[in-house]
Amino acid sequence: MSFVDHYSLHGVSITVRSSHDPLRQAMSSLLRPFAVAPGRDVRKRGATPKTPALHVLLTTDAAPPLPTTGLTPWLEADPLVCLADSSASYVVYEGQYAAQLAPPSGITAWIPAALAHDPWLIGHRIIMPLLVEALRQRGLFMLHAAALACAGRAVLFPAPSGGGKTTLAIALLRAGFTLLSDDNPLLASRADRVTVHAYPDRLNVTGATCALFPELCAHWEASSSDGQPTKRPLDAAAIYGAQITHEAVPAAIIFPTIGNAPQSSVETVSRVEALDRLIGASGPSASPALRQAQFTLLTDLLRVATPYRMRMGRDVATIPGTVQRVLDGASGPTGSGDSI
Amino acid sequence: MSQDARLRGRPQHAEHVVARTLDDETVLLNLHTEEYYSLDDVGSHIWQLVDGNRTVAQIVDAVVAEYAADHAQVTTDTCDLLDELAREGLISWANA
Repeated sequence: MSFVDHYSLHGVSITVRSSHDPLRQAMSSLLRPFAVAPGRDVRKRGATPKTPALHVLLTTDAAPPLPTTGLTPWLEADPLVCLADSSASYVVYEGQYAAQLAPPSGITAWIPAALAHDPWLIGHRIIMPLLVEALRQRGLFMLHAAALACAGRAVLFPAPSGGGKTTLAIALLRAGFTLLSDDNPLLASRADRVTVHAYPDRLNVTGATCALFPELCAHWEASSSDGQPTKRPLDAAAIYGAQITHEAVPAAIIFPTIGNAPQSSVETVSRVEALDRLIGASGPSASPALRQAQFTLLTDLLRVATPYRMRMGRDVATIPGTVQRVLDGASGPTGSGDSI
Repeated sequence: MSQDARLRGRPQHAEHVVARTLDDETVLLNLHTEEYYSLDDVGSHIWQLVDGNRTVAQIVDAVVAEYAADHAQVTTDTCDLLDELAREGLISWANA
């Protein structure tokens, strides 16, 4: 018996097929915010979908042989290696061929029995690189950043894991900002303008972040790690009544670093330096055409959103005011160079 | 290569390079190597003059006219920049 889950992600219809609950759960851990009930994603008869659907098949069957020639690595994060040839991308995990992305079938994963009990690892380690690449093929470019909005204008906080994204997201949600994502919003270029799209999963909170916001402690203690090494997922909507903004116009990009000064400080950075950091926060792609599209999108982003760097201080309660002043002063392509 | 031969060369953008303007700078992405580069305003101006038709001498003349700079210095700087762009695979020589 086969089971199917349906998702709709900003115009991309995704179907996930697997007869194994833990494997479908792995995809659910990635795509939970975009789940749709069967029959809800009905298109008008005769309509042509604007974006190709993505099909995902997960199985515990043995993987076929990995091609032996013409493979080029495009992402190496031990024990994960992503390779590509002219027809497909391949994921090798702990030396075993585990998944591929190939048109028109989409993503197919052959999960070793020893890993099948770990949905978070399957979803976030094995499937995620191929999902990100598949979304790029459909015009949606994921950025490793927190993204929040105020009055339809988005502020992005690109940073590596542990770089303050969730702390900033929580600080701003408490002040009434709306959430696009605390970890991986999607950028798109539609109708000749760059837009930021939501990936509003639960907030993945460390104990250190929790300590800054006392109201989180009870929720944190009551939650489970969901398989994550150091973080626990918390529901921003339930805790803060957070509203989701599904699409916003980027107005500012703030690169945070964690500090211990009493007050946070913000200053503009050059767009070339910002591009360097944004490329790092966007991750590699298997395809030269997609790398070109990503490069173009990021430079277009920097033409409409002013880049800043923020040295985060201990003043989490006043950070929203600082960010609001940044948004008020972010006036497009000509940054002032002044400190704020 | 003699200086005269260098000045007769006609540089052209490599096909695998994407160029975008940010503020006064130009950023270049080499799709073969995934390396990217930035050029300052003068370098950006030279990049825009590189079209496979203009010779290096013509590019130098255009830069001298634009910036009212010393001809010998612009010649040296332009040749150095074009040599570096060629070494990085960002331009090739149309008449090579």
